[in-house]
Amino acid sequence: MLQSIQLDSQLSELVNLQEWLKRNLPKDISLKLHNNILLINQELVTNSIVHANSLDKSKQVYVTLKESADLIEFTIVDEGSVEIVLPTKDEAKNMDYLAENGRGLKLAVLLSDTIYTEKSKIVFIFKKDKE
Amino acid sequence: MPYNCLIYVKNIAVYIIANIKENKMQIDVNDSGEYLVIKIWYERLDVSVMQETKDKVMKLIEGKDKIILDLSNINFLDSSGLSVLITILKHLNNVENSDLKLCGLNEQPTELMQITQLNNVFTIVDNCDN
Repeated sequence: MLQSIQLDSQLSELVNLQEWLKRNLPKDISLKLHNNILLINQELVTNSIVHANSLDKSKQVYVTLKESADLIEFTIVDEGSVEIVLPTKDEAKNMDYLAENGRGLKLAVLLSDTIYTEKSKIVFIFKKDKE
Repeated sequence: MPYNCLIYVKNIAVYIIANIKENKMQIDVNDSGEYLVIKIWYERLDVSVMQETKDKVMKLIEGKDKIILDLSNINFLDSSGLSVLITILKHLNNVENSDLKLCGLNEQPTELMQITQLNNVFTIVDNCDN
């Protein structure tokens, strides 16, 4: 199953993202995984809207959800020109959460099962669990 | 429909929208006890309300040392929401005899506190009534 949503680069679009996710996420995953997926999408789309697209409403963010028997895969593409540099798993584990910035990407690395970037595209995958 | 009725309907719509906007950012304060109790009424403490919340709360706690933040209405907290809480904590750390308690955390905010280990940094209490 493949679903997608296109968002303008403004923070008010985050509510639409969350509603879209709630409609399209599988119903039989645990609440913890459900919450983690909402959080990581929020963090990474915020990153795209604010940092990559610089809150320029004419620029878009595209989110795709692909569901298979065992996996839930997301792809986020923005119109930014700067390549995203992800922290390593160790850096994410040892993060200073009292620091002002950088928590979003570290949470994404920590909570997703697989995550990688290709230019302005970020792919992150969760293994399905059961409620 | 008569023109007057259209104006009336329009005015009601404007009133409702204004109230929705107001409610979205509602923060209540109770200063009657030892602690200043601040209740954030909206459901999402995230990047979209971060700056406004930070500004409002920092103004409210000016000159205060003992604060309880009632987060029982919040169902979604992201890293920007955490940033609001951290800013308040850092401010109070510079105030003599200060104390900050968070109360009424729902499931998702509790999970985020645990993932980030900020549950070891903040004093978290379950029940806001006590």
